[in-house]
Amino acid sequence: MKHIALIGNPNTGKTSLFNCLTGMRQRVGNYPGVTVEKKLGTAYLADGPATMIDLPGAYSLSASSLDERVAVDVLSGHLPGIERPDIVVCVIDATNLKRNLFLAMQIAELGIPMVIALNLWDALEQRGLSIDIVELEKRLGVPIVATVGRKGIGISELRDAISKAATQERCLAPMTWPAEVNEAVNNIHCAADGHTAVPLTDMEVRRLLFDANSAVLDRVQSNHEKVRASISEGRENLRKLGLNPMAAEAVLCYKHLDKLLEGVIKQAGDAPNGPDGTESIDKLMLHRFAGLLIFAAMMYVVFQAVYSWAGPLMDLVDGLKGWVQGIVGGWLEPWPMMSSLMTDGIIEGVGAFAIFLPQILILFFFIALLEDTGYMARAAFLMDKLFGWCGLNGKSFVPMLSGYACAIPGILATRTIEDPKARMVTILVTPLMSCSARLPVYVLLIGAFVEPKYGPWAAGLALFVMHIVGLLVAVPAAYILTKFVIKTKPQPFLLEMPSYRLPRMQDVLFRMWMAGKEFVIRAGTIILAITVIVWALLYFPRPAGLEDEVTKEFYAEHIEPNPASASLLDDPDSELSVELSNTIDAAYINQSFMARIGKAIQPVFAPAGFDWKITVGVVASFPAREVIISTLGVIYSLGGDVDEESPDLMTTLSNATWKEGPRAGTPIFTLPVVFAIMVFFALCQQCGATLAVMAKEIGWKWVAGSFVFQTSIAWLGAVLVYQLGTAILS
Amino acid sequence: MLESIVVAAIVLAAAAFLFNKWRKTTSPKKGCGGNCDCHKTKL
Repeated sequence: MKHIALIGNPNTGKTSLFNCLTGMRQRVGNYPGVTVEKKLGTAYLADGPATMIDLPGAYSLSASSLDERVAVDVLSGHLPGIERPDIVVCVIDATNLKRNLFLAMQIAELGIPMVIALNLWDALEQRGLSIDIVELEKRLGVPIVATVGRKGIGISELRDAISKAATQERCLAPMTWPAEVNEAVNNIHCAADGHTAVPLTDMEVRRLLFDANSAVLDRVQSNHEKVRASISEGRENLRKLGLNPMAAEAVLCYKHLDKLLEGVIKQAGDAPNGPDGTESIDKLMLHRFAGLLIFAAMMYVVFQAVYSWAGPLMDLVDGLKGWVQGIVGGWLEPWPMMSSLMTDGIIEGVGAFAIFLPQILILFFFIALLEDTGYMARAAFLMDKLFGWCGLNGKSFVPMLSGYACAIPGILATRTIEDPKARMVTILVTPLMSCSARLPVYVLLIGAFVEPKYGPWAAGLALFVMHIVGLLVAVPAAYILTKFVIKTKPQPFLLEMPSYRLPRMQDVLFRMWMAGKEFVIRAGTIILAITVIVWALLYFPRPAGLEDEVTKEFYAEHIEPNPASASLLDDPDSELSVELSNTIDAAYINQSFMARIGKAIQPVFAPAGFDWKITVGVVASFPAREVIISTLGVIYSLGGDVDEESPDLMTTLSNATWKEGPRAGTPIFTLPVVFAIMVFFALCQQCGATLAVMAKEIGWKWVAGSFVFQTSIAWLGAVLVYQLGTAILS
Repeated sequence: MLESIVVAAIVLAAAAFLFNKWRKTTSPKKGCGGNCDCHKTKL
């Protein structure tokens, strides 16, 4: 099977073309860092199927960031398990021909047959421009196809061109280098000869000459000094020519491209408002004050919508949960333990979590919308100044923004950051961003305690505030890390602003579908398994005499003073019967394994106002934070707190009171406790999968440090909020 | 008795699933994604 690599600058619509060619859907984004990992698919060409690899977006092959190195690796056949491609499809932004051809010229040196896809052709036409494809094909010597990946235009032509390119083996002619460059390359070759496992190619030697810290130098096993001396000598010769060695390649290449492209780009019509109105919109969107205000307003609207639109759908899921519970409970009535596992454990726990599916869908709808319109790159630009203050730059904001959906892709997206120290700091602070797993926790508590008291607008505002708590801690944390611990140097930030465009509804719906699928799979696997364990720890042990003992105490307290009320116990629906049943349930849960664990740890969380049940929820949530929802669901259901008056978890929590101690009879969930829980969840590192990914990127030592830091700061934040809140409200 | 056995089996299955998931997450995957020393030297 043929191997085809797809490469191009970031924001050229490469991923859309990949989707069209392979039929395999992916996330389509507008900012650098979306395509960080390699992605494979099968393209069906006229002469049979071919393996297609979507390479990370790269501006050049100088491989200064990790994802660029992956691209270089694949093209040079150095990546284990991936064959060197037979054909390269170079995706070029038709509106930015010269700059995009710079990368194509570098790939030309690898001698791989090439097809050029002139993508975003519609944007070129909108600007009243046209490219003479026939003439350009003649000058470059490779097939060129005009495409619009987002609309699927030119895809069959591109398929044909790839099939033909495989048989014709047409390569882009590499540029001719001045004699001084060739001489320097020969000298470096001589110096490195015999000191590399595989001889260096001319292209690799030119990387040594032109790049400040070339990764190619790592391949030279010994004799570094001699190689370095020959590189310095070569660079000196370039300086004599009046060329800065670091910029020489670009200067020479663009000179070559100037000649090559002469007369190829033509004015086809009028371009009334500059390039598609993007500049006019950006005047407002990127304004130093208005831009930030618009950004904040937009985020507020998103969280308000996430909060208020989901209500009817949540009721639907809740109704479904109650219905299933009724049916299953009826079937399993003769087997109380099994019935409890299914209704109080699995259905209650998983159902309490699944109820938040609508919010997840709405959140991802907005994330996809903002990405597809091209706004996310503007958000990164706006944040550059803020991040510059804390020693990072806007490039770090892109992974952190991804962290709002999930920290894992955010951490992987840091591979676009060239400076390893800045990358490390970004990885360490990205888990502080409020990922979608925190959303159910916020919605549950805000819905139960903020909305009923202060109305939906305050609820939306509270949700918005909770989403910026992490950022408020991340910025000073990054400042301390960059100034005192890891000590980074200021990095320049270059970001290409894609044109604004209307989002494609299929892509937006696809993002929602993927997020929903992930959520449901999680509910059906990890959440389900943890729920079963939590149920078992709350259900057992079941001491034989406990029920009799509790019943005896209940009689002494309620029946003996008023013997006539004994008949009420014959009716299972009477208030007294329900109270007896709840008392028995509460007695069982109070001596369960989980209660013992919770009560042992509770003193740690007592300064934050948590009771043992919240403590159990917090502890059980360390593998995955959303587990608190199902855990609280199971605790309160098993403890007999879920009844007709408190049919859902929100109502149950609002009715929960302290059973013993100085606060007996008062509500457990006061506003300060609710915000303390939310702040704890906003700041704590409660995700096993994120910790594992971080460990792969930066090692366990840093991860352990980050875990201790985040847990401590979360505890401190929760205690502060509770103590201050209680002091103010009292 | 049968009920206890079924419940115990479900709880054990859940524990085994979580243990397996944890083991898979923490053990290193094949391929380094361009992030290790061996990879660096091959570049």
